[in-house]
Amino acid sequence: MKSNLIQGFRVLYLVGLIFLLLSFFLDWYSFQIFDSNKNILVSWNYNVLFEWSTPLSDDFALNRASRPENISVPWVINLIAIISIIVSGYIVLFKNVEQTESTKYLIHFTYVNAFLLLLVLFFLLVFPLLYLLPRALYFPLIYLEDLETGFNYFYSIGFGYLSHIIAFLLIFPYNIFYFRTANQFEKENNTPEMLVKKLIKRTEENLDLDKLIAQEEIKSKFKNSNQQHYVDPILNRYIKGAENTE
Amino acid sequence: MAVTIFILTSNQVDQIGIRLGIRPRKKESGEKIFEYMKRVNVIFDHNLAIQIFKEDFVEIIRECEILFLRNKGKIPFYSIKNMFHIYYELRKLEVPNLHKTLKDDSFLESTQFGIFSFLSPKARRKDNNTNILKPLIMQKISQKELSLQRELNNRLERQKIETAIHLKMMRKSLNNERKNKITFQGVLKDNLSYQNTKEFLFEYTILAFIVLFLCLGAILFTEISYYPSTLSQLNTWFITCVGVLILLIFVYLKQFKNRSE
Repeated sequence: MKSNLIQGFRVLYLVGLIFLLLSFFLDWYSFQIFDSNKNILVSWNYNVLFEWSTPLSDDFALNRASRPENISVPWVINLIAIISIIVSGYIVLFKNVEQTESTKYLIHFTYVNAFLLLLVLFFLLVFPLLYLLPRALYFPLIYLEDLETGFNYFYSIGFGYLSHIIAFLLIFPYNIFYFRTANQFEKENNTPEMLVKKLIKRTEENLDLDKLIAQEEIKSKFKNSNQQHYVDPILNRYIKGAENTE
Repeated sequence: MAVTIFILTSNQVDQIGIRLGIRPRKKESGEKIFEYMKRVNVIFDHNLAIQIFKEDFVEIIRECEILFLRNKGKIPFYSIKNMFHIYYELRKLEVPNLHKTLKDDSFLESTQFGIFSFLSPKARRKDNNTNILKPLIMQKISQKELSLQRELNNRLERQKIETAIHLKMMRKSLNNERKNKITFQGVLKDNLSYQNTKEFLFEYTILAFIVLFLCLGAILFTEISYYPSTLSQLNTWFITCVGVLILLIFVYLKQFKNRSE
């Protein structure tokens, strides 16, 4: 039951990574203007990779004129985020903290996962604060009516940002769990005590009492006739050793 | 019976020698048990002016062993009896493990076994920070653990079990060079301490929601500060966010922090 819980959260983590990856290809923000008859006049959608795009044709002059200012999230951050997602997915899939034979490198993997979590938080927090609000792009959902022009303005976050939120919730628990486990546990490998035990075991002579008893029984059975021909192998080793030194 | 007692004595003497940091007895080249015991005594007499094996024990083993080899395994019954007596006396010897610098299996193949020993100047030079009393403390702990095990096998008592657990933790913390880490053998998922950490996953899930609502609340608060005209539309969001945050913090503290206390 308990190990299923861990596996469950691990699967959720992987699902979270898929949502994360998907979020980079979905729209993060949309801005629309409607007239009083609810006809769409302006429509712009923002994607972190492809900047602003519009589903309306170039004929809409107002649409072209109302294009929001470029947000320009550095492409390096996007690239690093995508690479981190892929690496983190590999780590969680193939470096299972429960099955690991060695905890030596786990701590490095936790740093990769922690870095990804920080990146996700960066996108969640910094994107609205530093990129949207300074450009008067409201968060998360605002509907404004301009009584003078009769236009209605609609600002909202897109499915990309929502995917990012869902991904954050999915990856956070297992990420912290992985980090804590790697820092808290250490495989007991090759302490001096263990190695000395290995050496003692290696140098010890095996004492097979059953074998010795059987040999004694054979000796006593063949006591009169074959005793002179019977050679006790253990005794033989001692005698040969003594003879060599003498 | 003679062969048996010689094997047992040989193994016991080897074990004592290895734990004291001396190389094992060279059986292939015919080193005798009493010769090995003399060697151990000489080394410790030279270094610490102490005798590990009593002289009379060494003498008795010498006589029995020479007789054993000369008579091809036939020794008088009283010699076997003396050997058994010495064997049980050797078993009573509490020998601490004086190896400190062993880290990997390669030493098992090494001919320079002595450099890993406590007595070796090279070992002492490598490890200046180690507590030199540690082997003796460990020995005392092991001694106490063995006596507790014997008592608990006869009768279970709560206080003695608690003492045994405490001693085990003390032993592990002394052996543990990296501070505050729980060591485990085998696979992690079988470790009892690890089993208990799985309950933290729910705690982390709540924590994830707390962090998320904290971030969203901070963004909304900043937006309302910059654009007061949006207050009428954002106040519902903001109040909901703060309300959920307070509730989650309350749940988190009540469920998880109280549990840890």
